[in-house]
Amino acid sequence: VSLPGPLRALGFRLRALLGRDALDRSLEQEMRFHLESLIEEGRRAGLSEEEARRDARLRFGNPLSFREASRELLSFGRLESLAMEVRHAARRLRRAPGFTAVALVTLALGLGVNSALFAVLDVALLRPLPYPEPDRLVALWEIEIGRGERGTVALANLGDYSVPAFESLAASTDMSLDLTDSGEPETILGQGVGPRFFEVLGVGPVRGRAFLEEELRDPGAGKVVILSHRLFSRRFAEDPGLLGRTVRLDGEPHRVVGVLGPDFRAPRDIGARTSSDFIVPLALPPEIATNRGDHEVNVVGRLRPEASLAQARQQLEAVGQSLAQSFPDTNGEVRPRIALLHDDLARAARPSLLLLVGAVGAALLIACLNLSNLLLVRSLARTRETAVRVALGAGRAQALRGILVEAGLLALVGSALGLLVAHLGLRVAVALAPAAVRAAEARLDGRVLAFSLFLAGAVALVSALLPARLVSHLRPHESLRSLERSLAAAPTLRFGRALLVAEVALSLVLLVGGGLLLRSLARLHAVDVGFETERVLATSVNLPEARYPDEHARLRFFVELERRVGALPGVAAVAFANRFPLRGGWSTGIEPDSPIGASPGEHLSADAQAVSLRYFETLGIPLRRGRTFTAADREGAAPVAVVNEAFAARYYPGEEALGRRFRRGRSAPWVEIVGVVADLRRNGQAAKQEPGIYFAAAQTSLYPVHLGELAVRSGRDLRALAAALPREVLRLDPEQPMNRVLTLRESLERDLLPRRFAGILLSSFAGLALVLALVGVYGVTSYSVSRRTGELGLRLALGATPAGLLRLILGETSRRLALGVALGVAGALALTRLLGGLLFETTPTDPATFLATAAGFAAAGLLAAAVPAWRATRLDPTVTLRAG
Amino acid sequence: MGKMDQDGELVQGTLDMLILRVVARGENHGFGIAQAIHLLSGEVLRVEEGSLYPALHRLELRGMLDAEWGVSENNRRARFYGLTAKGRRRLEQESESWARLSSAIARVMGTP
Repeated sequence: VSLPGPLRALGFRLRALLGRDALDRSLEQEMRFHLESLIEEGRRAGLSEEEARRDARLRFGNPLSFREASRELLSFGRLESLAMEVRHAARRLRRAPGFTAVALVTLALGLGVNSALFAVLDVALLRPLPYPEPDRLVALWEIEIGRGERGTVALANLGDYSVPAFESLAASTDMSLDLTDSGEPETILGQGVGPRFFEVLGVGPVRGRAFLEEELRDPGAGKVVILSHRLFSRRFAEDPGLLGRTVRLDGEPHRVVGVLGPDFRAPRDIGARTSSDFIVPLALPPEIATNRGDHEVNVVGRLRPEASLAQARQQLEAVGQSLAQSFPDTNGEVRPRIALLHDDLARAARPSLLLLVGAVGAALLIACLNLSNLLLVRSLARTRETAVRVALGAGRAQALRGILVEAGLLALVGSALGLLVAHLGLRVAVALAPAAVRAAEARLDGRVLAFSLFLAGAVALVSALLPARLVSHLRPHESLRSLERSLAAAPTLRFGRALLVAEVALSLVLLVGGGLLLRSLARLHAVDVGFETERVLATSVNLPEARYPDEHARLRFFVELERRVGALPGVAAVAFANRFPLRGGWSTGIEPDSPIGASPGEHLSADAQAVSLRYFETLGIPLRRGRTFTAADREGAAPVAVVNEAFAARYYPGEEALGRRFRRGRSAPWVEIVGVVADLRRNGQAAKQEPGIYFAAAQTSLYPVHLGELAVRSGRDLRALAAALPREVLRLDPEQPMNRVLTLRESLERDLLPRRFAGILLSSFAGLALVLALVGVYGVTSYSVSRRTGELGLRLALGATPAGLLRLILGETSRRLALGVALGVAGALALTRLLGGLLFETTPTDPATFLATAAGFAAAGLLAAAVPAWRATRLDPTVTLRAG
Repeated sequence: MGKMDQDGELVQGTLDMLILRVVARGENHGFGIAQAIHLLSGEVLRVEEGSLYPALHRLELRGMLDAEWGVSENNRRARFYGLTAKGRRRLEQESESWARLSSAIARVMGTP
């Protein structure tokens, strides 16, 4: 069988490459046959055995050289010499398993976390938004000049904001509706959108159509909806017949006019864990839609292709000022502001991400320094060998190539392992990351792979730099005469020491940062929120106005639900309210009967909840004085309230609050305080204890808020109970969905997530940095001890005590450690203030953290140095002197 | 005479042609091929082993020759080379152009 030429040649070469030994044997055998035939010929010609052999050898020439020629021919030439370098490097690395393992772990961690970070950054900051020409999309919001606070936009102002630089502007609001068709009722999230919403984004429904002008102008007329692809396939099995049919949303039929594509994302969903499942025409009550003081909508806009952001800004500022003059009451202090939508969405994620970048960058730098240090120590140890090779004519280029190939090989294997780390790291990051980081969309794709390879190459080059310098400065005759006095080694060794100091300093900065965050987390966890969180489940039920038109109807629903849930097995207590702690707030203006501690005319307000009878019992809030609510506190009875201690201390300092009265406004009835309960931190551990009021839910007209939440306390299986709750609601009202059931502990943990993310992240990097730095200290000390074996042996022989020797070696290392620690503390002092917002009751310069970290680090560093130092004290002088 | 460089060695292309010609008479090993060239040239041409083996391996690589291990006349293991179809075509081409070239040179040299 004859193969086409090039293929045949390739086959030969591959065989030659893979079966190198077989090829060698074959060539050798062929030569031997030839030589023996020559000898035999000589013998036959009458020569003696010896003469025949000599003659044959003379005639045959140097078999090695033409064997080499043949082998060159049958191999890949230069490519194979690289393969040989790689094989040699691999063999060298295999012979130093300790070094290799440390270097690979260093690289895998350093490269792995960087790849994972890149994957997250890529989606969060780099990747363009999923709309055509995303550079022209802007977010628009309003600020109140005095307070500088960012807020939503008044729909009535939107027309004025349509300055010439904008092609179009569109308003939207977040909404939730109850879907009660085909299957279990559920609450779905979505957007109410104004005219030109899809036009601004540049993407619309892929089936059906966008909203018609009349549908947007008069949202009440015939209700229409556009569904997300997700909902379309989940609830309606992608039935194309759904278009034109109606679905029941909040009890009202809505005609489905369109379905969005699977990739569609509303701007509000980008970087959020939620996703919009429906889009309906924006329907604001006329009094809100026309009131310039009612700020209700989010706005996105599209710039004209030729317009710049600065132009739009200028034009909007002019509009804002003229509106302020025309409508001083509502617009006097309000100004519009814009930013590119991409930047605006990235803004929320930026602090977390910058922290990430800082930590990961430092970790990679440390990994680089460490690898460089390791390679340096290694090539110093091999100086003599290299010098011999250079002296024998191996060429500096080849020695340099060897180092580079070694570093490259390490980096390549390290980055492969790193991808494994990245894979795991990404899963952790997705689980821990705050929603704004958009980590959930992060993938290990081709871009990440390319980045990882690029990084590996860069690391290989950077860390091979110093060792390569050493080799290129090598003077073989000096190195061979005496390694210790080698002129080339000295400056490079100084470099190595500087590397170590830098490594220690960087690690310490990370450690201090991680320490501060952990300390702050520990303080947060130690804070008692003031109510039971472990054994309490909470959820919300949004009762639609269509079926529950007023607060009385809602109260009836919840009283009945309370009764039924109370009868479930294992339930210790049930309560309902408008809001439970950790689930948002609601406040009211108040006017106490004797406003002590408040300046006259000051607007007073307090957090206020309408709660059921067993609210305090369910949450485990202790009663301090007076009583809690009873069944007698109902509509028509004397208005009563329970307040917390903070309220009593704020408005009745030094007095008895019980029996005092306040009202919610001039025309509202006076309410008597009948009880004082303990304070709690409604919004989690980081929140303050604020004055709070509790009204009886049964006295509905006193405080007619939307009752919407249910909490259950149980000593038994919470999971089973959580599953049972929605069933009870459905039994009560088959069209009524219930939102997610969570324990209060889970809600608490969610609030802590961003801090925990930062804390875990920074401290794991700090741990990594610590390990790397210790490896560095160990490596450098080991090397310096091995270099001075002769000297140390001599000292021992001359009567130095092991303790004295230990002091000698450790003294050197501790000077370097001290310098590194000092630099690290200085760096940390300068940098930890960046953590400000993430710290809780911990100053960025917390002395205890600084002291503990620095001392701990120094101790660990000394210990790492003590191991090789101790080994040096056990040297046998007779042996070392002979070797030296 | 044959193409020779200044050291009296055969130029590469010519050696390839001679090898193909010798192998066309029957499979042979490296030693046998060198001997055959020496004898057939009336003991004028001598092939250096240093160029013979690289040439053999090059021809094998290019698919002109096939090689396999066999047993020689004196009962030793030897690598035998044989002509492939491709090698035979190449030999025909080379012989033709060699014949033209040498008769042309002979005519020029034979001019009084």
